[in-house]
Amino acid sequence: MVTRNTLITFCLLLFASLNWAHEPNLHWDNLSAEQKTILEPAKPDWEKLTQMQRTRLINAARHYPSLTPEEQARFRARIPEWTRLPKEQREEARKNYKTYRALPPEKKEAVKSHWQAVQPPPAPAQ
Amino acid sequence: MNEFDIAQRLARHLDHGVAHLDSNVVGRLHEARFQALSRVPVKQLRLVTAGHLSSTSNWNARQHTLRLGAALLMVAVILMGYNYWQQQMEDETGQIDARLLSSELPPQAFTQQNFGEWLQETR
Amino acid sequence: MAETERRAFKHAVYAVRDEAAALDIVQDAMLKLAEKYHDRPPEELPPLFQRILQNTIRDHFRRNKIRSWWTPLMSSLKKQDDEDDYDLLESLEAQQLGQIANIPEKQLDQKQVVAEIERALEKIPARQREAFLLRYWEEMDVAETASVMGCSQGSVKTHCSRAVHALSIILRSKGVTL
Repeated sequence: MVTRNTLITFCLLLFASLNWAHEPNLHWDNLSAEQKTILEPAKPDWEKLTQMQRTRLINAARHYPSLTPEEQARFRARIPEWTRLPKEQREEARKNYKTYRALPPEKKEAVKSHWQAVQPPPAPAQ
Repeated sequence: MNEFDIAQRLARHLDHGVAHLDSNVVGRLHEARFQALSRVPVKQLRLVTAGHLSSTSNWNARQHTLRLGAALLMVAVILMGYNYWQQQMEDETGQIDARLLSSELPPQAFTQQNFGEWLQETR
Repeated sequence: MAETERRAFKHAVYAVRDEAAALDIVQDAMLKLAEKYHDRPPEELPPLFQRILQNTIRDHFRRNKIRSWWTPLMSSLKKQDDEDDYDLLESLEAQQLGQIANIPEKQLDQKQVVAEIERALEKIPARQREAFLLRYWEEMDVAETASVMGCSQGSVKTHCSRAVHALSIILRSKGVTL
């Protein structure tokens, strides 16, 4: 029946369009000026990234304005290494971050200190 | 006059006869149709008029289309709901990524193997 | 829509000449159609109904052992198509050929004309009547009519032309002009 096929096609199109409606074209040139500024560190690698990676970065960039200046600096500094991580590690990192986030503040501080402590000391400046 | 013309005239006269049937005959014919229709299974109800417009079969087809439409609409609603949920998930992930990347702890900390154990060590 | 039933009733009346029986026949035919063929596509229903109607009429004759006073009707029960209906024309023409020209035209109103036509229909052989009614009144094409009547398209045309001829003669002999 023509009607049935039309309806099915419509639903599939609806589904497809909803899935990819938000960022239809994720080329670097199609980003807004603000997005380009925030995600500047990802520009060299941008074309190598998957659509999903790009979407994730763009979604993260949305929260950029709510970060403190230090946080913003850290955010942009870490973008390159983040994009180079394989997907499984990124997923793992997110999971671990959620665990960390749930910790009480003192515990968080303790963990941060611990991390600082085990870092190799920076090379002494000459 | 040829055969067709004569036949047509006869037919039109016959139509006149049909249009002026006795009322009790008309009544009995209605009754007969009603009885015939009541024999038909409800799902396949078609007017038993042998040929002129069958309004119930149109109704039947319409019902089919309505049911189908309702089913597909439900599918669409479910898909939209799923999509919305997915959207929410993406937003949450975006927030996590933003916080993760801007955290005092660098991503390497979070990619450590046995992260949970490492947290435990910190006392 | 009710037209079909009404015409079916008339078909039956012309054949059995009994209004009560005709009503029963139509009811039977409709029931059969409803019960057995309700799931057929709509375009198949008119010829189906006509065939059921004709069969129901024949069943009526068989059951009641009614023989029309018109002998050719008996031979039509055996589904012979070619020989059964020449007698009428022969006899009519033999009787009235010389007289038709002298018969005055009557002034009749529509109702009276219809009545004469119906009477004439009741006189002609069943096969001729069937063919005439299916083709010219139910407006089926020759192929459909042949399928309903179970005969060849050639027979249908023959029956039709004989029917019209016979009806013309009968009506003329009654002083009826169409």
